[in-house]
Amino acid sequence: MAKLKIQISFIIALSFLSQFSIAQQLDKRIYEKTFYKSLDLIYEENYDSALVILYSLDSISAPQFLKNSEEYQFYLDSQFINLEQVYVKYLIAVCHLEKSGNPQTALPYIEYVIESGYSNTPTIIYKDLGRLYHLDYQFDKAIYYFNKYLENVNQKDEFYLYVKHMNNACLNAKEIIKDTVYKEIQDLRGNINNPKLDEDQLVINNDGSILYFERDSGKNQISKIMVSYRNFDIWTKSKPLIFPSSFLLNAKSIRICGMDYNQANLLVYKETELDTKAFKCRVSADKVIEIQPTNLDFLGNNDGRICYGKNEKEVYFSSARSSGIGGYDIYRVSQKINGRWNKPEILELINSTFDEVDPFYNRINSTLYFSSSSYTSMGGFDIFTAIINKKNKIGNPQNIGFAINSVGNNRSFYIPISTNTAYYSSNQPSNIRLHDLFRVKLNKSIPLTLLNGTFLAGDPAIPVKMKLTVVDIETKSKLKYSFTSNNQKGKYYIVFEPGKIYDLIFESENYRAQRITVEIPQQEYFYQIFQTISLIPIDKVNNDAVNELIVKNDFYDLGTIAQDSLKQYKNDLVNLFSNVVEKIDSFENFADENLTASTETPEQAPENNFEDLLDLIESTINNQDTATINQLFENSEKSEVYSITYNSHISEHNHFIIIGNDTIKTSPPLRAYHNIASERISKLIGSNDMIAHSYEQGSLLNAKIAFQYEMVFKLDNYKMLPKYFPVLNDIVELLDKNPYLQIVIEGISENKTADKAKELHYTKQKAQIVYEYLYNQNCRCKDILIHTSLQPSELSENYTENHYFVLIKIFDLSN
Amino acid sequence: MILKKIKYSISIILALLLFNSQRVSAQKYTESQLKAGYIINFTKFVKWPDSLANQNFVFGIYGDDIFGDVFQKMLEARYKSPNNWILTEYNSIKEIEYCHVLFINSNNQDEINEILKLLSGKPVLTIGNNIPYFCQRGGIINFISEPNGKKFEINYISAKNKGFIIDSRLLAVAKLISASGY
Repeated sequence: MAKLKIQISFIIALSFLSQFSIAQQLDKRIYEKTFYKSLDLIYEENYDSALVILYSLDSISAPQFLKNSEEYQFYLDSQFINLEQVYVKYLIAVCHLEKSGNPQTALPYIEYVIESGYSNTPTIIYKDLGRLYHLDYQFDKAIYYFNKYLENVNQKDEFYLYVKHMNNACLNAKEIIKDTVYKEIQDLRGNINNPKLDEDQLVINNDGSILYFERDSGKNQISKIMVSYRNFDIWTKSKPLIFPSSFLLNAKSIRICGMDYNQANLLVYKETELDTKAFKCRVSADKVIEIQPTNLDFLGNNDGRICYGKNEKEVYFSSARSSGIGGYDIYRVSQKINGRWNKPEILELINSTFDEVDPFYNRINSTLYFSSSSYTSMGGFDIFTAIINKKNKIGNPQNIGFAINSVGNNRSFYIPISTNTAYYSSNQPSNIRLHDLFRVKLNKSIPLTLLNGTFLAGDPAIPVKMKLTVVDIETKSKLKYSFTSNNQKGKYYIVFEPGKIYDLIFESENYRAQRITVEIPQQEYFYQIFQTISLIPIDKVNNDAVNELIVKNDFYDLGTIAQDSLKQYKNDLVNLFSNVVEKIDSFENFADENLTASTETPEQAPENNFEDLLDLIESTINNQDTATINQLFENSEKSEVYSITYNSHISEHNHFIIIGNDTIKTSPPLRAYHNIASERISKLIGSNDMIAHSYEQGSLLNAKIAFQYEMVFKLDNYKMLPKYFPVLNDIVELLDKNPYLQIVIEGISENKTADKAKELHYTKQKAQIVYEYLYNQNCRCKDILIHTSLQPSELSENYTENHYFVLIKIFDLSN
Repeated sequence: MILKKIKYSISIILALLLFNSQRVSAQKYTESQLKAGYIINFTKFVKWPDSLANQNFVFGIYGDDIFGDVFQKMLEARYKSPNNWILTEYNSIKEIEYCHVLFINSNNQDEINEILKLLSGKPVLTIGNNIPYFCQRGGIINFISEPNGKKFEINYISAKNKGFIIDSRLLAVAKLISASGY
């Protein structure tokens, strides 16, 4: 009856609201009544109904009716808003936070409330906001709000420890997500995952063909266990596993315990009024056809999942028994000769005061997998690994990495013995409170990196014949292969062992030999690095011995694009390249365009897949799945890891490198390291090129120019040359670290055409291109000024063609 | 020796073919395809004022066309015969007439300001392609490229002022900007 009353109220409220256009102001009395109705519904925990009303209120102009409303007018981005508007948004946020579903929906509304400066914002909202940013992978913001919460409460606060834990989790997460270790992850949607229900606690048989899991349908069921069979890589529709009625007679609950030693039969816990015992079940189709008691008599009421260890006489299990360190812990127990079990041993190295659950031992790599919500997780349960050595000693736990682990709960990691695929449960992207089952491909480690690219020299750059020698810096030994590039195409190929630093010595007739130090990162996948090297002759610029070398590397991780078809070839590929490393001495006549060309053209989606893409996009919005949106956009672009440009007086001093019996004179080495930017920044600001002269406009009058950099644009081209990117990136970092610096971007034109207005327009556009690049790199743009001028430039003397110039001047305002 | 070279050359070619074959089979979308896909879907999550609901749907592009024929093909994929969609390109500000959606892909800030002023108060869903401060100036949606951040921003105040109702699910995946703009 009460429900009916509420529904009728809604219908009345909604029909009333619908009579008003959104631009019209609703009658104050009705607005107020509707507003308080929503409050009542929130108190009744009827959040869905409250949201219906609140959304309607949010779409119309709010009249003022709350006490002291006049005092609560806020200035927010050029407009006044009143307390009622803020309050409605706050209540929407409360509803999203409290109702089951995706609490991240509350984020924009809480942001609005915080930005509005609403002085009565309760402290607890900082905790909620921190959690929402954490769920949204915005860890810096999360840390900011967690700290803000901690500043406002004392240590006795009920959430103090939780917020501290989450703060730490954000710091962990920032590190963990830097490296996406596992990428081929598949949501078992369709026949396994139901978007409205919770699927968890999976186990799978040895060849990965039978999957058991628990589905919580919200009903009071004795058994929640489901079963599904894999048929040609497709899981059949899952069905409830049917137990004999005699077995269910006195049972309070039946839940998954694990699999037997051979991963052939399911083990279940049967909980009765008296005790909890483990049973082995033989299953046919969706029916349990045989049930046997097990010898696992050490298990009881407080115990979780089990797995067998290196043999049938060793078992790992999780338990909340009182002898533990805290919460659930993982124990190991071994069987005596007489068949009895020893006292379970708690594994101290991997347990914490938080929960450790769901052990799974993989006999192939002697590794224990388990889930833990400890201080080293990303916030919820993360999956960890620990290697167990021959003496049965357990190693330090390692976080299995992103993207198996996420900011939610990741549990029940399970690998069928004879496959290279693992299964686990994790939060649904659209609903953090429900779990789904996922499958991940465990890629074999292919410890090789292929460097290929083009060697060019001269201006304009053309392919030249080049000799390349490779030295392992650690062993100081020349690798037994050296390469000569093809002088028609300039292509070269090198295969590296990762995790090492190498010197590459490039030699070419009429050019100074150049040494480049390259750090090949440690990685598990097969990598290709595409590197284009362009060497300008030594005496090109005013005989000033300026040696310009551009090294541009793109990392392309094959792991992200590996398809099933690759699987069968992977081993062949590894062997093939091993042969290349060992036996081939020269690629002189070897040329390939496909490999390099394919890096420059983004792969096109087949046109008939547009329907899928549109559906996928619609579902990302429907489910408010920002993670997938990010992934879609980020996958559409290649990531550039190395990119360095040098334009400095590096050849003033010759360097000599001695390799075996050879002595090679080179320019000083360039280091293609990830964190090279800071080195170059110090060069920028601390170089002898520092100029001090006055600038004639505004606040910059007589300001000192700390650094000046010139960029050239062709008349008919609006694209900035890639060689400028690293310098601009350095400038962004420079400004970030030095708040007293200000940039002026100066567009300069030669004024060679009669149409001055047009000329000025083009000049400004070129400067704006530079501005936009800086803006997109999160440069503090309020300190950027754009100027344009039409004047003959001394810069043009070095160029035969007509060009536009953009001068970047960095002013030092510290004085 | 020659045989050895041939053997290894074949090996390399085989390796490259393998690279190539899996590259071709990889499923990747270009940024413009994604943006076209999102724009088409935006229209499902935005309610236009009633007076415009039953008209042909006009989609305008100002500036460089990043879509080519992708947009038309996506419409065909979604609507089979999208006869009520009219795609139009504007080469100058003077040409801009009423359209339901205007995609702006320009670096010229003066032009952008002029367009936003021109459309101020009119129920045109303006979408910027990575234009600095687009929403702050009154644009409604802007594709942005923040690493690990939201991929588009929405000025819901501006949208509200122009009579649009934006579904909260779309707002939830966007970076929200609140500014009245021009």
